[in-house]
Amino acid sequence: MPASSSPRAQARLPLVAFFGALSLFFATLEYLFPTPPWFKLGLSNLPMLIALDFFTLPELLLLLVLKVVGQGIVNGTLASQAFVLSAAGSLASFVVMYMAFRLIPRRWVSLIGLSLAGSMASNAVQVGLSMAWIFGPASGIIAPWFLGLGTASGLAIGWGAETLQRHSRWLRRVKRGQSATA
Amino acid sequence: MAKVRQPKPRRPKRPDLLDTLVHPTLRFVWGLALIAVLVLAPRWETRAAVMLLGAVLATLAGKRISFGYFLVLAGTVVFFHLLAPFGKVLASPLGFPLTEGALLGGWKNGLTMAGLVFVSLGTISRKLHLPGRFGELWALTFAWYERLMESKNRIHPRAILLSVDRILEHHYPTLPRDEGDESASPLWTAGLREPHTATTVWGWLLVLATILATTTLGVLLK
Amino acid sequence: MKPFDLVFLALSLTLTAGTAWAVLAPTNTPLRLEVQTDKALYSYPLEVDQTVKAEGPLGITLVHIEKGTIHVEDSPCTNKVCIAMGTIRSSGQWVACLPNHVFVRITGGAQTQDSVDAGVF
Repeated sequence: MPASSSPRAQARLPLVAFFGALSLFFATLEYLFPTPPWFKLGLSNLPMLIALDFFTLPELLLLLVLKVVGQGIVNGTLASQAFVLSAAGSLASFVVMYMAFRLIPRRWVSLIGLSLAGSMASNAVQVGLSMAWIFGPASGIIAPWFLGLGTASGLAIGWGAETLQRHSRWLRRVKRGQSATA
Repeated sequence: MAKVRQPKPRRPKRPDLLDTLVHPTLRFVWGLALIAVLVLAPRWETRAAVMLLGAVLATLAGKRISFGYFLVLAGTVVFFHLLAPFGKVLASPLGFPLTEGALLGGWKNGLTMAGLVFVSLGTISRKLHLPGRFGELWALTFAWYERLMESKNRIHPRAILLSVDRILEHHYPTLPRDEGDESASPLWTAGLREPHTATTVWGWLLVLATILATTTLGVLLK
Repeated sequence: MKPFDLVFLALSLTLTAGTAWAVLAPTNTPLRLEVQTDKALYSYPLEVDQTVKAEGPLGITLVHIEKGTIHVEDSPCTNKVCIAMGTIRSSGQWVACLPNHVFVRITGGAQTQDSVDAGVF
């Protein structure tokens, strides 16, 4: 819960919720792409990438929780290892993306780079956890597949986010709305 | 000329039968109790029983449970366990030892994992209310999610980003500029929490009977 | 693509290639305990502390794994040579309780050729 309760912060909370819904929506769009069942593209990360530009850190953290808990409830996996893996992956990915976003000037990095960094963090953490906790150390043999596919999907999602950010009519409306209330 | 793809006919949504019997909060607690039995039971037989119960509950909840999913999951877990031999060597095809301990351990773990997923699918209602201001925010998120999902058929596989952008533009609500701004979408403020039924007698019976039965099984099969 | 996009892409690819190499390259296999009895062969990792019960014609020989070392804790034989043989810790080392037909050895590690074969006894 962000402690900020100024009127402006209050008005922005619903926008965080909209981005949360967007994350869930993108997560369900994964069915459009044929992937091996154990691999998730991470489409729900796309709204997160776009959100980096919009929100403050507390708002972003709130969005992260909405995204993670929301997927647990919508998919009904809230109380399973799958949920813990995805939560840990999302958290790691967010931390890395946010740090890269703050530390590297925008003219040196695009959403593609941030997406790649996030995907790498998420997949490394998930492989590590499943080795330590679920499948045993022998499951390390899936690591290269995971990281390789993660690089490809990270590139694609970063490209998608970059494209949306440049050309989206919807985002232009959101930005206008933001400056109007500011 | 690219063929225009017809939108898939929408699969009829199966109703959540448990929703009419058990209040979402009680249902969540029910799930936690079953999961406790699943994780704490020393024998794989008990875990298999909870896993099957979970599959039944998930089916009642309108989720599609596939036996194939269970097989793939359990198979993967057993396979990775076998890679780390443990205990009596049962056979050594191609010089690799297949051990009893690894087989049993993998089987038990696979059952547990499938059980967690099934119980979770069966007992976490989309109408689950989370407490406090976060709960309100979640309700808002979920309401929008359902809205967006209604437009899922308008997505064109050949122009995903463009079609998604149009959907978002269509649904994105107008922010309230001032207090009492009439043009603002009611979704920003409206009472969002769906009402839900209270737990019926049958619901209570189902909850208590399943918890009692699995716990007894767990204690008896020490 | 901006400079750091390429940096992250290179990092991702390096990580992928690195794990692939680590997984596929023939490296040292972890050390394992093998216990051969009349009836069966047992195999355990050395990383997990535990007591293995090996059943022979005289009774049960207790083999103890502790912090990557192995010793025979108890055996129903009369001479107790196996207990006296003490602790073993590296690949190729072995302990045997001949009266109870229990043969204990460590396999794996960098060493490929086995100095003692189970067939010896």
